[in-house]
Amino acid sequence: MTLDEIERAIALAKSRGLAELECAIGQGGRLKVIVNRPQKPVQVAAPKAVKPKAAIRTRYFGVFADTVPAIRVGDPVAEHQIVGFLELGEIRFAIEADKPGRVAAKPVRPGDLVGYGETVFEFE
Amino acid sequence: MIEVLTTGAANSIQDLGRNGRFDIGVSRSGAMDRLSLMIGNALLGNDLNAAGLEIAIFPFRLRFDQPTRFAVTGAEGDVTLGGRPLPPRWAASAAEGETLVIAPPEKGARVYITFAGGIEIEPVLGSRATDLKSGYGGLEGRGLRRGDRLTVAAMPPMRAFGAALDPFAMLDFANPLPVRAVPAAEFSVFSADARKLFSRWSWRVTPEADRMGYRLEGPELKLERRLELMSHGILPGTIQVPPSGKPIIQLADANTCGGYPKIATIIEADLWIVGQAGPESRFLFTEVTPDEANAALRRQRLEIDALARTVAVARSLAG
Repeated sequence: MTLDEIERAIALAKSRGLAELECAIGQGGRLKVIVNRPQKPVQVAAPKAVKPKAAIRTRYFGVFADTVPAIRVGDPVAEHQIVGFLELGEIRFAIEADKPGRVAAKPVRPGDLVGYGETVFEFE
Repeated sequence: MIEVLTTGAANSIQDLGRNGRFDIGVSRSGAMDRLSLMIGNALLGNDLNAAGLEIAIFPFRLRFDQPTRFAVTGAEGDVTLGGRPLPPRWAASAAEGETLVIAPPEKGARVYITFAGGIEIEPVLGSRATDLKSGYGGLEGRGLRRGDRLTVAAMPPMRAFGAALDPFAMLDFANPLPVRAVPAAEFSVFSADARKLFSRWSWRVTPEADRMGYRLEGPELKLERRLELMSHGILPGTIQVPPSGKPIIQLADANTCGGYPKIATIIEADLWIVGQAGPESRFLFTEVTPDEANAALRRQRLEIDALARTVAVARSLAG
């Protein structure tokens, strides 16, 4: 049993929010980790009254580029309208609105690297 | 097949032109903006020399009679496929029966429509380009007419995408367009004033501007001494100065020889800017060396090659 293994077990217990973790380790050895920290009860989120905001999320990763003219906060957007681009090297893909709406927020700026499933436009 | 629904006679089939036949008086012809034609071909995985349509008269409309992959590059303005707007420098798929509409552009003068596999038409003297002046190549050596039907490959749909490479980003058509030129053989025979004015004046494109050449308006460029020249070879980009002192840029369909003194030659890498400049545009010429001209062309080709490679990778990943 090494210090490294013990530390990994402690980190695992903490990351899963466990108070106690017991495991087999090495040849017939057993390790019991007791996290000496009052565990916060896990809050089961009650469904709130706030309705989830509609948003346009990316289906690729790439560098965000605006349309010309750029879509701004407050602009109406039609279904299937191209609202921006994701550039991957020399080519660019379109980001399309999957439903109509009015733009409430635009968390990305031209030149930003955005990942898969990232919100690029939020609707009112 | 595609069918032309609305066009003007100056719209034509063009590729990169006929090279190597200047000695028998065959003009290069080909796209006035070769860069945009190459971008359009690169987006479709075509040979860069594949034939497409050069549109200079608007609106232009065509109908796809089969599923077709195409790209629209060059001048920027409203372009719609089946009523849906297309972004600039864009490759997309058309369904059978859909109509592509190109409205008069807001930026630039010539739009290029390329098709996956190119336009299938018999080459003349090694090129599918239309020589409108001499009347050969392309479709019976003439411009497009309503009802013309052209053969292009039927292709299954693909995900639409575009070119990030944006040559138009650096052009502001409201201001003089920067165009680089190499001093030509008779440059030193022009007066000191003329040589200075050439690269300081903002030269206006007159309405006499077509695929053969553009007449420019500005101060009279005078020669230092009288000059009698034998007819000699000229190329697209050659700037001649006739006795009026008003320069003429010789372009795609220009004659292959002439006798007027030449003050400069626009570099190949910047000829596309001339092709995108309509009447009332202005040019500001900058003198460069032949080495700078070659380097600029190499850089441009590297960018197009990089686009073509990325498209090839994207296509292989997409299956």
